[in-house]
Amino acid sequence: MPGRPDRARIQWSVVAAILLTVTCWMQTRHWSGAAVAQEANKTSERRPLVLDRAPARNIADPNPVFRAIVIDAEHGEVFMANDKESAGTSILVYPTQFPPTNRIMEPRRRIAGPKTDLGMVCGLALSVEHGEMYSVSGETGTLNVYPLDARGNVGPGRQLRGVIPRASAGVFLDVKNDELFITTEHVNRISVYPRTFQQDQEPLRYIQGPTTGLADPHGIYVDSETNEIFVSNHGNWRKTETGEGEVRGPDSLTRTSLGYNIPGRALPLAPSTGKFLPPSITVHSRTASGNAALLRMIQGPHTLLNLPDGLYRDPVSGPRS
Amino acid sequence: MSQPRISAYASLANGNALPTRVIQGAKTLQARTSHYIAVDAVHDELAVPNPFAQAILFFRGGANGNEAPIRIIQGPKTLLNAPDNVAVDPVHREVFTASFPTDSILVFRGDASGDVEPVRILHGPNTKLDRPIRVEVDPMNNVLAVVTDHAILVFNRTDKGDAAPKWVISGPKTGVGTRFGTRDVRLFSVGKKIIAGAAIRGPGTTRSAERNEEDGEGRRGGQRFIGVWKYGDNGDIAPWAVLNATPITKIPGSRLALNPEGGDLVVGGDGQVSVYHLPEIFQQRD
Repeated sequence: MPGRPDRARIQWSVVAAILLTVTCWMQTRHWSGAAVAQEANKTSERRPLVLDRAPARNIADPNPVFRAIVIDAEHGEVFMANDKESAGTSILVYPTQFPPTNRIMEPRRRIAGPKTDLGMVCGLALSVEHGEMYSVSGETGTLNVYPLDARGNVGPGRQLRGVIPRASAGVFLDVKNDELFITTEHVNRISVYPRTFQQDQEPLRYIQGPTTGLADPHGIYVDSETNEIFVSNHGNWRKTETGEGEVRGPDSLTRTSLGYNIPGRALPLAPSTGKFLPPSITVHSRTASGNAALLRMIQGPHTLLNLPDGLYRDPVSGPRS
Repeated sequence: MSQPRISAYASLANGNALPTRVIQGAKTLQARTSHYIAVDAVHDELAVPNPFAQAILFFRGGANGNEAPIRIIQGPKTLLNAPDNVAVDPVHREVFTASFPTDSILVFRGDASGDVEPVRILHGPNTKLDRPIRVEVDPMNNVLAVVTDHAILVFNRTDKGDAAPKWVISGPKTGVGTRFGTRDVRLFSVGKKIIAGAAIRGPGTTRSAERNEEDGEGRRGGQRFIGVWKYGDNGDIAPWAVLNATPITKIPGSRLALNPEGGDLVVGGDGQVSVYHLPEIFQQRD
């Protein structure tokens, strides 16, 4: 009859409706409500789906890792650098004399916190005479100076932020000549500054270049009597240019040591120079400058050197020849 | 940090857990500054860069202790310069590294060893590569993602020479780029997602320093987040999803790993690893 749908058309309409419903359900069943709402927006007006929730698990060790150690014998204190971020990077100060114990000993005081700008503190030095402590960091391009009795969340009293390459490993104060020596692993370099440096101080001199023998340098000790510098090297070597790593803006020789955000010259694609050398202790003239050849080297299988870091010479028992 | 090492933990490790094994020692040839590791589950290998010796090291998947690499890419022909990252494509058996000093992406055969030339190089002004620090490859969708100073660039996997990126995620709505703290990018192939971490931090500011600076989007300095974008996102586009750093989330950093089967996003940084159960990211379609 005209105006009445026939049975076949009704059946097909029902089947089509069911199919459409199932299809829609299959398409959307994995969507969260927020995601659906979000998809309705244009990409340019997108409002992010916020997923903020607590971690299900967290792996962390709250105990410090000691990186550098230096002693103030006059005040009976030992200073230790802790570069472990999960423990809060810090300088921990302990008494040199303490009763034997098998329990964890709390430090006498702790230098830590956002004002300290410690970074991942790698090297420490002291001047008892001037009441100063010096630190360098594997993260920053600074040399920080704190009062020897600093405690808590204190800012450095002085800070070198000049052209010093980023990421230094070791620092040593030559008391006799009143000079600070710094090793920088990324650019195979020893930099020398006056202890009384100003913020943007240029180095007095530096040792850097392919004939220096420096290969991923870390610990440093200066013998002011023999005028020699001792440096421990991990052995990762590449050819470095004299002056490389200095932070001089877009005119810097390389970007590799400047930090990610600082512009520098892009280098051309060129033959790689990298090598693995055995770990070593290199000895340099205290007054050497530029690409100066090393004086001698301790290196080889008999040395048993294995990723050497800290370095010290006993002035009494350490023979000089 | 103090001594170079690779630590392996149980998948469900939690708290102050001991590693199940540690690859550490002079024979491993790791540098103290190695910021990346790639796992090739198909060939059961680990790849780690050594920037100071300009090398890429490959270890057995089950390596343990003071164990030497099974092969090393190193030498004049490699053109490696301070490699600090590595990505592995186990399907096409290729290895990628972004070269920060030379604004380039170098691609090697996955089984390469010694002084070998790259099989492809992505380099030139059209690439927009500006201080690239990370590369990630999606062999399923033939996509390559690169973190640069102020962008995530996405290329075709086999692009070479002076090829332009197909998508560029960059701008204040994105918050990505090394200058904002992005240190990693991951690709979820099945769901076609781009995942990157960021921490808004001023140039030269240490992680332990006070963070007072504010970016154009009102984020306080040091505010971290993990953003998720979709394949095809191009331009200054807000992420599709975001995991913000809050006192609840406690995002430790911006290094990432994905566990799609478990619906987990793994975030590393500041000497710790946090696992977030975020199945929304790992939907297989949307």
